[in-house]
Amino acid sequence: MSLLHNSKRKLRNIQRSIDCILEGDFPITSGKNALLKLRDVFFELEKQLVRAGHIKGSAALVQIADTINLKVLQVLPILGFILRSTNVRNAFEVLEPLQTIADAALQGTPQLLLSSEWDYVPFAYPQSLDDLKSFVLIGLPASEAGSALLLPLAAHELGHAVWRHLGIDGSAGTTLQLRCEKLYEQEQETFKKVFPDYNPTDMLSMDVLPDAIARSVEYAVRQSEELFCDMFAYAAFGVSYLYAFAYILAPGGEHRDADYPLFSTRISVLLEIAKNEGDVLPTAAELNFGSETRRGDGRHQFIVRKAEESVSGITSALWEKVLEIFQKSDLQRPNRDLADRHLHQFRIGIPAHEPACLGDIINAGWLRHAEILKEAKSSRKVSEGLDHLNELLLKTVEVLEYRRRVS
Amino acid sequence: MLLSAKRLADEIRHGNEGESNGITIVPTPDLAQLERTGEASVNLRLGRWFVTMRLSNETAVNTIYEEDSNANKLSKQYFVPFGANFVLHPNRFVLASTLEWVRLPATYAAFVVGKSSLGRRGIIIETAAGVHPGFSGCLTLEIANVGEIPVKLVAGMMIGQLFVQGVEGGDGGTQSSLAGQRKPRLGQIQEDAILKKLMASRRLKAKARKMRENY
Repeated sequence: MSLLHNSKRKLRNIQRSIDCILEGDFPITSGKNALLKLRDVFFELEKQLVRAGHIKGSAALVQIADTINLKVLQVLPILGFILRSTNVRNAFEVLEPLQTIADAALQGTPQLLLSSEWDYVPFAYPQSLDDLKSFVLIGLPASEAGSALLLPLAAHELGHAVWRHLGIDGSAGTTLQLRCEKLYEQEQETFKKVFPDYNPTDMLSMDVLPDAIARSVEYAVRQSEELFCDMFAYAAFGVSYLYAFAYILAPGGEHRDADYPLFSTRISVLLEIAKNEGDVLPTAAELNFGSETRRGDGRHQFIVRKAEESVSGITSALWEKVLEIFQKSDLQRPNRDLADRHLHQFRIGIPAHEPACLGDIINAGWLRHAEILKEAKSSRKVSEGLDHLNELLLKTVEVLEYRRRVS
Repeated sequence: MLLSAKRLADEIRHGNEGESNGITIVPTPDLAQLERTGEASVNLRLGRWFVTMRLSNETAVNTIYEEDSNANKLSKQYFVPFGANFVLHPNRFVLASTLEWVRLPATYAAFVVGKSSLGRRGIIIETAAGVHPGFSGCLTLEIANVGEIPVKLVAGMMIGQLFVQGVEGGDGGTQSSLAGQRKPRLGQIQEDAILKKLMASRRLKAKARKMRENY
């Protein structure tokens, strides 16, 4: 068995896989561009491997062989993602309007890739894609990929890219660290009861406090990111974000992971924002969410509670940040009057002819969705009505792109 | 009687604003230009979804009603961005749709004619040429290249013209507000009761002949 030979073979095979996908049809060019970038990565590794192979007993060969294994491991799921992004079950009409939001919010030329994944939870691809830094990869569940009504969920995922790109995690992290330290200081007595093993003078247990604070900060940063993304999607899509969110996740489970805010918190934060803007949103109960608790023992519960308390103090600042991004980038926020105009057109079975904002289209869609559920006399009629509504929504989204291109 | 440019433009203005007796064409064509030129038709553009027939283990395309249609198994969809090409090779056939969503009230019918400039280049465009009152959706276009060289079709290009005429005695609203699709489809073939009887009688005759032969 030769390490050099095996590594060469692995490189050859992954390059063939990339070439094979490149031979397919690409309804959007960003998928093809991502593949070309990845192919370059493997060409570079191939050169390094050849160089290392010339040196006998080289540690460099071991290192490069290891890097190749790691790179193949990282890239294979991305190849699957790119392949699925070309499937015609995707509603390709939504890409350009979403790309417009991404361009504005990220203030650059990010290449958006929207895929339909065999995974029920919408997600943004992990942050560690060093080889595809200028790409934003968003996955929506394959079974729902053609549904325009769920588009606001893609905006939430886009929010993750904005969070990282603008370095909000860094500034929020510093604030949350200070807040957590203060909260722990204020509750020293409770802390000692929950952590009886803590002794600041004992070498073995003096780290219990800083460790607990560090974990609270870690949870707080992740929860803040989720709230920021909720706010970003709400700013872009208004109430339809909540409907899409509830469609996918309600009633929710009994327990929520500490990395995520409770559903009730997420919704109440948006309710508060809407209230300050003079708008009324449905409550968690109206959206069919049940109550949740946190898993874990008393120590874990204490740590998570402090994280939540620290996050609650920065929600206003997060919303201000979202508004600042929207103002700076001239991103349009939805308007109820325009949604009502579109709704009138959807009612008589035609697409809207003068759409100006993606949020208005989807908000009108959700309003019509509620009407169809109320009016239809059978589940077959509901199904037909919703299928037809989806066609009208996607055609209206296409008209939005068309008008932008010809104006 | 065909609608004049002025009348056509007025009806589209009303229809696109959501008046149920108007004609809807979305995206809205350049109505000012229509009125200026005085043409009695609206230009239609090529949409972005295409459907081709594909090789499969199906032995034939069904042309009569069957409960389990094999239409989807025989077809393949493509999406082409605005301004990009779909190349149609000689003797090949593709289904496309108009970019425009068209809706006619009960008082109007229409027919579609392919651009003559494309016809001269070997591209024959046939639609369900007559568009019935109450139709709503993107029109499916059947496009064939009968020429000798491949032809580039560009998503968003002008592909045909829609002529609209009044329907005598047509009244009321549209037939259904739940119909209409944005993508071209092979479509369902409607059940034909008469053909069903004709086929059943043929089977009976064949059975009787076989029985006679056996005795």
